[in-house]
Amino acid sequence: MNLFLNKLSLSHFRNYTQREFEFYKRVVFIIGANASGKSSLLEAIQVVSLNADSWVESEKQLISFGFDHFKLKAEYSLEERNWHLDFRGGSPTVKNIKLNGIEYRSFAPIKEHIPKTISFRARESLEIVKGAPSERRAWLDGTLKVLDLKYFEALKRYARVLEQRNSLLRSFAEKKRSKVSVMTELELWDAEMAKYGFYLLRIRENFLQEIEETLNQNYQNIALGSGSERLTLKYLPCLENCQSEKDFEEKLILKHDLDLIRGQTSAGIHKDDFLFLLNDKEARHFASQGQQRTCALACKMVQLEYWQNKLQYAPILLLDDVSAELDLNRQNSLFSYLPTESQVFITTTHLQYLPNISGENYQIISLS
Amino acid sequence: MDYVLPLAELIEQFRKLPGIGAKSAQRLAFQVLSWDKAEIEKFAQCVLSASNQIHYCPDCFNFSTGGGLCATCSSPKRDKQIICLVATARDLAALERTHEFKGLYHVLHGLISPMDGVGPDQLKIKPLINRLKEHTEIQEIILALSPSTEGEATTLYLTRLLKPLGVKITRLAFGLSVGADIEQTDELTLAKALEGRREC
Repeated sequence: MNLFLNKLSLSHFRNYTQREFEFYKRVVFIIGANASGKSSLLEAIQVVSLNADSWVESEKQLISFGFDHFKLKAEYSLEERNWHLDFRGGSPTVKNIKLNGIEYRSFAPIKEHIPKTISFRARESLEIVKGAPSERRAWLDGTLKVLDLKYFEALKRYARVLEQRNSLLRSFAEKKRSKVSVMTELELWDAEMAKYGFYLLRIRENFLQEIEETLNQNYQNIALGSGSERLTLKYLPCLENCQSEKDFEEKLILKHDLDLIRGQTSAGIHKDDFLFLLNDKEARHFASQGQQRTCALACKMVQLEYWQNKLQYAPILLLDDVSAELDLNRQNSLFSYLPTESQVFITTTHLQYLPNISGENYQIISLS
Repeated sequence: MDYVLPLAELIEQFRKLPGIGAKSAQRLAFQVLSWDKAEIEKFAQCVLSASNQIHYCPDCFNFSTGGGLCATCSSPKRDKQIICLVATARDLAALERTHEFKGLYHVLHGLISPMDGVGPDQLKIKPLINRLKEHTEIQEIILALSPSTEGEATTLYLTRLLKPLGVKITRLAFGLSVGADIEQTDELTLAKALEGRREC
């Protein structure tokens, strides 16, 4: 089973008035000067893949100036079938998805037939290593929730419980309600929070353990020749040593006083974090930019492998402007360790950045 | 341009209704004004008499007329041993349409939701406790609340509150909707249905 994007046509999308692209090789380089539409093309691939791992901003910004919607048409093969996806978007009134000519109102019934893509954007990539914990949680949740409906649902439920719990705490902090009446209710939200929180915590913990070795392997592959540092992960759950839902709940109860003073929930999986360690040192403080970037890239590769295992096919990989940010050694090793089964789209400004890819046929699309 | 005062006030009244914005309120106000006098009087009269004649049933808190218990609570045909707890009168009406339930109801008038300023005290929970004490014949309470976050929290609250009173507490089953294809059902609902399976 394989996924291959054959054709993509864009109308009124970003700076494309009307253009059709055909892809016939597994590795596609998209070359052009700044503002020639390289990233927009990758963005269009993101949009038709309808998935959550996405840098796509609001759809409205994707429409060419002066029009009220954009259209994308994709042709791809998946599960030994050919699919035609028509996507009309940009405003809620013209939203429209057609798959093989049949119209759908939501993605839910067709999500298995939509190509999955993973994107890596050099400009933003360091965030996962250096940025706020929310960046790492976003990657973690994004990787897990796309293929795991139960995780997705638990996340949604948890967020809602958190909102309710915070409202309750705020009503006490703002002296709208007495402590007694808040406390009886707080117990309820503790229990609800523990129900979803403990589930999410366990899945995250298992996932980070499961990928640690693969992550290091990917890091080694890309960093080849530039040292022997070993990349490991350390999960920092906000509530440590939880063995059961009950544990989780009890630990929430211990925070009641603090929560009441602050008027918000001070502990829970919404405060989780994890660290990247290079030879046991925190990468966000001690690693160089190149090492951090390699680390971020390794994360994407892990995500790709993880999805591939679950999906039974390799998702499409989109690499936006990576070459500008990695030294030649790392570029070369990145390109020689590109996933062998994924279709890969790579944007770059100059042909000279093209590495030697031995034995690999690739397609070059020049945008001017 | 501002409207003359009585018209502006009328528009404001319509705006108070849920789902009615500034434009719709204007449209409704002009519509009402275009009616003839008799129609307008009937409309106003209906609003008034609805609010005058309709009150909560003192037992179940469903809407009722005539001062005393509602038709369901006073019907000799209903089973007084079992009470079905619902969030709103609309939920009650939905359950009534099934013609399956022969017991009595109790309307909470909402679900616990701190965001909306609704706690247990704002719901008809105290009257429920009193009702249980007064009517010792009540054997079972069915919690028929939506499986939303708020519904779940309210269910938990009521379970903790009512269990010690020695009454049987049940809740509606999760599961497949009637007429649904298993193939078309989402994984979560199916998982719940599997979890709640029962012996044939």
